[in-house]
Amino acid sequence: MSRSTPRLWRRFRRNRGGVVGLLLLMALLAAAPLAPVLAPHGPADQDLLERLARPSPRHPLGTDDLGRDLLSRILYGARVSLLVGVVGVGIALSIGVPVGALAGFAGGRLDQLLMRAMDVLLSFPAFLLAVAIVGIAGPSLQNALLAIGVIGIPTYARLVRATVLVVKAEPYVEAAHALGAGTGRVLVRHVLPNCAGPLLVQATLGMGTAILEVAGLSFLGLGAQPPTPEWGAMLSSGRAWVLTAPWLLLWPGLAILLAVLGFTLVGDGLRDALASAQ
Amino acid sequence: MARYVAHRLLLLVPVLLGVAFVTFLTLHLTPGDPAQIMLGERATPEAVAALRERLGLDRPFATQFLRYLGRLATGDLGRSIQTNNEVLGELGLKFPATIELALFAMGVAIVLGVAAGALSASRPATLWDYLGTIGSTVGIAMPVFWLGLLLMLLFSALLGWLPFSGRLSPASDLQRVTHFYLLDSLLTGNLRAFGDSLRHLLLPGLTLATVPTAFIARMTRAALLEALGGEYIRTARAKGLSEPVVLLRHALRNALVPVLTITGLQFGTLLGGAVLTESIFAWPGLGRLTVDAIFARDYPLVQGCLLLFALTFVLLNLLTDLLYVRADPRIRYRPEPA
Repeated sequence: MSRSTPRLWRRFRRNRGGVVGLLLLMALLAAAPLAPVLAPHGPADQDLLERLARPSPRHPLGTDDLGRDLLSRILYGARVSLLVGVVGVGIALSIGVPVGALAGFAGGRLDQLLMRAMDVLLSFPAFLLAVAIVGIAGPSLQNALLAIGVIGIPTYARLVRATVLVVKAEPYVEAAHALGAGTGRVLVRHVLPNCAGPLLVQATLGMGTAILEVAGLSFLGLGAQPPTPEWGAMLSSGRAWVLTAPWLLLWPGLAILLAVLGFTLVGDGLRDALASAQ
Repeated sequence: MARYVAHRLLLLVPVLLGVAFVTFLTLHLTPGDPAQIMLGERATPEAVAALRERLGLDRPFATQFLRYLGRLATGDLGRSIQTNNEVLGELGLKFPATIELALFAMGVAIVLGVAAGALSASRPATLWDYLGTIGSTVGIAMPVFWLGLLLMLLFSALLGWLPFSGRLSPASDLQRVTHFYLLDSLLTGNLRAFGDSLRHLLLPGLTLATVPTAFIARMTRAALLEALGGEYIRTARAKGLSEPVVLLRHALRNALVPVLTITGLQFGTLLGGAVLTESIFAWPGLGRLTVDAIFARDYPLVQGCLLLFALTFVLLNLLTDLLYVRADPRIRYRPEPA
């Protein structure tokens, strides 16, 4: 993998969409740690004399109904979204990869049982299952992340299982087994490198989906709770002021779109680069 | 074909058992005692105990699940905590609204998606192709709840062309027959009500259609480009067939299976997206019912909604699979040897 990285980059660079996506992701990655430096105000600072203020030099994107600076809240919101993407996909990967590996290596009844369980998860419209899980476990960002993680599991499990089934039949893996390599070693040395590319693509796309889904949950009041500066929650509270302060609708939504677009474009670019590198 | 359908229906049994288990399990995700949560802090211990008994929460886990399955088998989904009405009845009232919205959105998505994809593929690397590609990329990443609000702001608030919310104007005299309002208005010959319900359907329908349109357009473009490279296309052109005939009769027919696949997958997006779209446009369907039930802590109703959504999704997926056979006669299904 490491030796082919420069070649992968050369192929990725030629993909215009991928490069645009990378720029968007870099903006997100910069905004998250730099929010305290870049933001003109604190995310929860209230300026009660400047409620629902139009965009001005003091508040470049205007303020909300509590007089909080919209630009600052959007910048701080990048932290929440990045966290959502990384943790949401992290949960799905850390359960999905072992499940897929176990099913693939064990075969037989255990394989059947695990994969039917994945089928069951896939029998629900994904976002709806997340809504139900969070709704019942209690609305919070933490539960929203868990729910997003759970609905992402089957994708990764299927991917890893498919790779295991292919790799297991390879003569060099049989040889490795014959030499006394355990299942763990085969998994790390042969299976994971063989599905690293698809997993990377899937995880990148998955981070975009996770951000979109958590924003949707927060929009319904099921995810991040006030005063957390989360983009979906900001849109939801901006709805009440749609006629007096339309900027409250415009910017948080655009932020979600650009962040998701960044992950989607980079994911697609990586997929194309990997496919043409074969 | 009949044997294949029977086989597929049989395969649904374990999946549906699993679905019922997950639905059943949701009640046990509650932090604390579900009965206490449903009745609130001020409920008397007697009332809580009575509800615990009614829900069967005082019995062992396995017994609870078997009883739940037993009740499901007889179509008994319990009663709503808020209204004390049968859950099945509540679902029946809202279900047509969601199906009408989802089918309308899917219709729009198939027409627009296939048209946009075909336009792109027939003129690769032109302005149309770039516009289509950019449009579908943005569409896939679109937060539909945001798009819905923007459309509402533009067409309802600023231009005043379309209604803000609901399925019908309050003054409408539509007679309800099937509760699919477009169908009802046609059945009763009420053209005014037809126009009225169509106008109400337009914004939520377009909002919900965005993501599926983008996916279908993308897949149509890719599948058509691949099909257009085939030898038979060269033959068709050599025969002197016009380009539209080559594209629509020869290439599109062969691109149909991947397009069908992605369309089937989009039913999940549609049903999940209905939750958000219905909330924005106050569409009185199953999605909004789910959210309302969640905030009211009406768990039997939440479970019923979840179950009905999953059942619909599973059956729509089965339908898509059956359509493959129609689309591509080479696909022959036979039961796998067990």
